[in-house]
Amino acid sequence: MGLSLRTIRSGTSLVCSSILLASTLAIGEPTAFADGPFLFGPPQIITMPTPHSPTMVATGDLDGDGDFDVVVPGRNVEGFAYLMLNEGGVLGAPVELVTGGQTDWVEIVDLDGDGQLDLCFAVRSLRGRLSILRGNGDGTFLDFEEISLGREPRSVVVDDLDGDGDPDIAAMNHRLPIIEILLNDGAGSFVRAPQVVVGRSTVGIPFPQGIRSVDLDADGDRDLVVVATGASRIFICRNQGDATFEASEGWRPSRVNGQIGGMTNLSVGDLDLDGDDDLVVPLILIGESSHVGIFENRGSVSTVEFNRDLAFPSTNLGYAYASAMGDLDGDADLDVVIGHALPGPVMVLDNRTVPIAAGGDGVIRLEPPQQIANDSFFRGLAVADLDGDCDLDVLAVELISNSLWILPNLTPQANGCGDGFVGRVVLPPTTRETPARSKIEVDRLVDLDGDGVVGGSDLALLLAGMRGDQADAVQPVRRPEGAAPR
Amino acid sequence: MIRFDLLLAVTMSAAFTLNAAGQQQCGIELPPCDEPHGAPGCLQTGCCELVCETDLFCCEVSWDETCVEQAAELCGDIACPNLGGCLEIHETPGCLDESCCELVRLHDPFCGYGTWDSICVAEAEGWCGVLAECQIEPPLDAIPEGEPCLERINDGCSQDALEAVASLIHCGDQIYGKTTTTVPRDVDWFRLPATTDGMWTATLSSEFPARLLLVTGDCEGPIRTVDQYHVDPCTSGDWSFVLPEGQWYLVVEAGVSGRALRSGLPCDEIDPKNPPDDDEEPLPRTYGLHYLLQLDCHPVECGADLDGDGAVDGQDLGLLFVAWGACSDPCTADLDGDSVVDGQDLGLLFAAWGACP
Repeated sequence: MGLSLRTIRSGTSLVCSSILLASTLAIGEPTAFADGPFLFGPPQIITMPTPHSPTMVATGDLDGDGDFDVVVPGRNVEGFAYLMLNEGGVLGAPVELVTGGQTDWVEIVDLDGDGQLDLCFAVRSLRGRLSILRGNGDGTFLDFEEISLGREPRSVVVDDLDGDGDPDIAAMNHRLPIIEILLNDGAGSFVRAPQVVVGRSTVGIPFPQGIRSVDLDADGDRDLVVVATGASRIFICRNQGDATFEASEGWRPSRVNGQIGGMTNLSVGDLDLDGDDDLVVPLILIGESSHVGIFENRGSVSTVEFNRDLAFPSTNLGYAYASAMGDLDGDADLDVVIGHALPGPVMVLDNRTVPIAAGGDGVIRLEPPQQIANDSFFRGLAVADLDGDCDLDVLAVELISNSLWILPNLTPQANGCGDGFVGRVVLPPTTRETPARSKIEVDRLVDLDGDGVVGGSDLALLLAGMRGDQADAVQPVRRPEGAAPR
Repeated sequence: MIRFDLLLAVTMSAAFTLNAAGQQQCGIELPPCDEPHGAPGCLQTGCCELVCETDLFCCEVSWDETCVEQAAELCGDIACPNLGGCLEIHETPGCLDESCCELVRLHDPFCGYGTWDSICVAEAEGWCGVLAECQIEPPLDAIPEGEPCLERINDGCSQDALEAVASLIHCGDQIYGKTTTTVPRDVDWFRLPATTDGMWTATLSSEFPARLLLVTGDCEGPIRTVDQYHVDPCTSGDWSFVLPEGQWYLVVEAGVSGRALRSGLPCDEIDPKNPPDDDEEPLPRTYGLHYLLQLDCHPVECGADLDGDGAVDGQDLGLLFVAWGACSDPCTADLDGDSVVDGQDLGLLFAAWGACP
């Protein structure tokens, strides 16, 4: 469920120093809005107080002061996530949120209709469960409540699945190919609806990794999309309007030089501005540059059709892992942000699609990637206007250095938003030196999904299971025969 | 990775016996063994002690992710049989019925070292109770599937196949096949005849828990598994279905309702490229590997084709009008069987107008 909050604030303290620094780099002729490089200020890096292995980042106004606060789940052995409250554009110190287990995902949404945002965590455990923290509206929460799930839920989506106006829950299990549906009674209590089976179409183990909701067939209800890393497919589960779903449809991503990429993540948005949502997946490839794969929705009604011919390079430095979309240059289209692993640059691909409605051909075009940060393993991304200057900043969690990076957006905005910065940037803002980490030795990879070949899906599974202390000691994992890999 | 904290712990606790340390730090006050936590030890005593015998760190410092991984590796064998009914949720791992416990644990290791939770119970309900051993004797006219364990001649859209790789099956065929869970797992895809309508019946006898899947679509997408049917080991089942127009595949795999088996059916052939050592123990086999699949086709009758020329047309309309009114058997124009040729029969004839399926 999309948050309606989008408070615009004029003052900012987060990026003041960044603006000054960046301004000193700005020389030369002014550049046209939305036609120059993306410009981001030096990152504000917040290191988590304990080894946290941060897994993703989400934003929402949790204390009711009109700005975006930040929650970072993680594989923390103490069983907590971190909350950072936003005060005037500056994030406060991380505060522990007790969730009762390792968490790979959080949704921020008002579950019980009391007007306060709540937190819904997927607890990554073989005793899988949701951990729900009901918000008090002031940045504090009640003790967590649990709802049992299957084996190792890694992602959850909260949306109105049955069309009754309140948010329901769809949770996916990494080690069971089923999606569990929990329907809201309107007051934040949930009843179980029939499960959805993620279809089988390969000999390998599907290993679902992520789930999103989107109306793909323009029938007015929310369908589900699952990224199954082991199967190297996305699965579409079309909603019949009442939170019952048709048999799932599996789709492979676009091939890159014949290779099927591994997928761990998914973003949803209307890339070509044709009125329907498209899907973006980072593609993990072996022996190829990482790519961004596009599932372009053809806008069919009562069915789902994709054009999958498009894939754009994202980097040759690491493995594409996380994705996000947002209009980062204020030109009213969605740009693509990709986080990479080992090493881990954050890249932005400018959307240059000219929509049919504007007289163009509507073909999705993404410019070559521009690096806006670099470290080791950016495992989760989000975009939000953290500093209240009405442009979107980038948030990224870095697995290895156990940190959250805030990348303040200084890009000239075509819509007049932003910091007022105008000019051509000679050098992108320096972040860090590229760490001297070697890539995973692919010849040490093993067949994690049991399909008989070692490929991008196995590498994706390896990365998806990695903790912050493991990057330098990647070990082959046992094959699934006899016992499932953990 | 050398764990200096572990070395320190071992040095400091030299006077402890491992069991003593384990007993001190394992028990019901602690979080479960499958979840990392800051405190040492974990809930499931037997598993906790076993892990701590290997890694004292887990019982003296912290039950971290490494301990969890060790629990997954070490604790799967300790809980069958164990207290608690296999069809009842309980906090301890394993259950009383050893064969059922073993079967569930084989496919869901958590049930063997974590807790016997609702998922284990559901798995026991689906999997246990039929554990007979049997051997299917194929009829003389059965067609061998002909896929060796280590080859991939009918594995559908697996790996990176652009198009489904499938064997052909014809109406009336009986296929004597084999499937295994040796990596890469084996599934057998059969391309159904390109008949566009009618009732189909697949009869499956199997030595292992088997699933039949009905799959349609393109490997690149969309591909859908639209229905499935489960056969217990050493039993036989008839599955009748009607198919819309299109290319359909009937898939046989080892599995139970909703889940594929990941283990228990190791290949029984020797890999010439990787022969076993002389003293190598064969992997345990829970079931036989073979199945017998028969396909029967029942084309839809074209009842409105009164003159039998393969089409419902004006000639049939004429014959119906000739027979209009009360009509005793045999009365081919009485399409709805109510002994009267009337407007309802006329409607049925118009509905079937055109070439017969």
